[in-house]
Amino acid sequence: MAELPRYRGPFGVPQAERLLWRAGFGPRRGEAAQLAKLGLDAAVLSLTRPAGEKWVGPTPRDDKGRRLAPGDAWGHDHLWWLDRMVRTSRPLVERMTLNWHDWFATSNSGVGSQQLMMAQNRLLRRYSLGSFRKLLIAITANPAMLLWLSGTENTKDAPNENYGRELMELFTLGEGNGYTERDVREQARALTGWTYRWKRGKGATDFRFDPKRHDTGMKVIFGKKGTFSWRDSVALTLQHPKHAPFFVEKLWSYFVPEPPSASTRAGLEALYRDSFEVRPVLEAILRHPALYTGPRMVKPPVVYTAGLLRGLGRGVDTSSWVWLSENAGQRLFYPPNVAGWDDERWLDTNSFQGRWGIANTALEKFILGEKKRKSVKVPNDPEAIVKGALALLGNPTIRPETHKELLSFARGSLAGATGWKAEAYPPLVANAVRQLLAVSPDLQTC
Amino acid sequence: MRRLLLPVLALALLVAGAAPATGGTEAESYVQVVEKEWSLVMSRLSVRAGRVTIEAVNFGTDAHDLVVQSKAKGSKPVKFKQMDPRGRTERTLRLPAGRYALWCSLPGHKAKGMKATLTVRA
Repeated sequence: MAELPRYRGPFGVPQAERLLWRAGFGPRRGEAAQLAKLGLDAAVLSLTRPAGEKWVGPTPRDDKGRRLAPGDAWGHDHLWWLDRMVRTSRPLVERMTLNWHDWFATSNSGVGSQQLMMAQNRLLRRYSLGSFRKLLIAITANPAMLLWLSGTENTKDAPNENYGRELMELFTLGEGNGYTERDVREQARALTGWTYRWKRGKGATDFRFDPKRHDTGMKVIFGKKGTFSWRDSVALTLQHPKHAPFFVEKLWSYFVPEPPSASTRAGLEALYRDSFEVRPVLEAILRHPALYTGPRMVKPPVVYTAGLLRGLGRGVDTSSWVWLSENAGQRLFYPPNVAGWDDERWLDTNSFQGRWGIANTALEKFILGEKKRKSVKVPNDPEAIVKGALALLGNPTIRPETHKELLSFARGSLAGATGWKAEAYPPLVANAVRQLLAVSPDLQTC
Repeated sequence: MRRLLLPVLALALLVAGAAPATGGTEAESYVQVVEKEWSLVMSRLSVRAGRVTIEAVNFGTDAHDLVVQSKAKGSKPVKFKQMDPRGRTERTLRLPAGRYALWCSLPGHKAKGMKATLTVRA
């Protein structure tokens, strides 16, 4: 088997920035330069094999200055996780947790318990860079998933095909890819037995597998015969020849917008097939030339938000992020359906308005308001204003044409600003340039 | 007379088991009550005495409200505003230790199962 392609071009700040955005939530000030100094291999390993977690930045608070209670207060779940994305020193762990949340999309609208959703979130994080086999076993038995996809309603007397179908269609094989409707029915039988106890005031609790509720009869799944149970169901889908190609292509798509070549796909499958370990596949993807030389990807709304805050050095200090993110199309813990978020919808006229609001709210703490306009001298100098905006947002790499547009806007706005306008206009123009930079295509994509 | 009534009212509510909490830096507990046909599910069954923010969230398809009342004798109920589906409401109360009944007061909802008990620990 030929070695997988490895990026061999320059690994400078622009490349390090892209890596940090695709494998995390963007750089804090100076982080891209530090990562670039490591070189590609060490940079990738610093992400895939990170040191212990160190939280960087202020403790998160809601609008009323209260500490967060992610299991007990509406919106605090979203804020808690956004805070992790902002303050983490292990961005790939957190990004993969987000990717798994999309892959095994579970919505609290169907679960009805922030506590159970938080438990699922911890599970996704625990297996973020590890074994997909262990992750799949754990998610099959996870209480939030059992409620969401009717696992506890699936009994030997009344099989429910919901989880059995999505296990294959969305999580392991792909729609109609290597299985039949009979396999769906037989998988449902194999997955019977899960139940819970209802306690007044607490709701569903004590989730467990009850052999008395399980269908112990002979089943035929993918042409194989056996008295399969739920663990066999998981094992059979992982062993299916269509699983490894599905897995590597789906994992790849979180990092690179164009599908892998046939040889790259084969190489990634070879890394994954027998071990089901995620880390080696991730390392190969993060070193692949396609990540550095291919087209840009639109940043998901929460990634964009966390990245803005990281670049600005600002923490989570308002509950507005919840509804702003919802407006932009991504409320954490509430994916639109079991297929997850549709990343082709990240930029439409509705969601762009949400992103405008995100940028506006991120920058509001730095706005040159009336008092600041009097105390902070902003030079009547378009170049300095654009330079200042870039510095505020962490000096992101932007295209020359974007720089030119911002400069042209600043020049045009300051033209003829004489007399009292010479002092009044520059701070207003600076505020506008910052907003335009934050919503530019350069910062919406990576 | 009005100035005297307010502290007396606050004292009465405290005695009754629940009082609106005023701002401060005291540690605060939270409990979320998810309401849907026909259950109340709390994010936790017990909280520490003191400032408690109770948030009701309507995950159902009918309107619901929430009433909180100490099980101590002579207590008065605290009623939250009614919520449409997908609505929510919250109140921060000062709760002494004890057991508190929670229920939806819309006709027939409590009888169908929309009730729960919250324990407030000392």
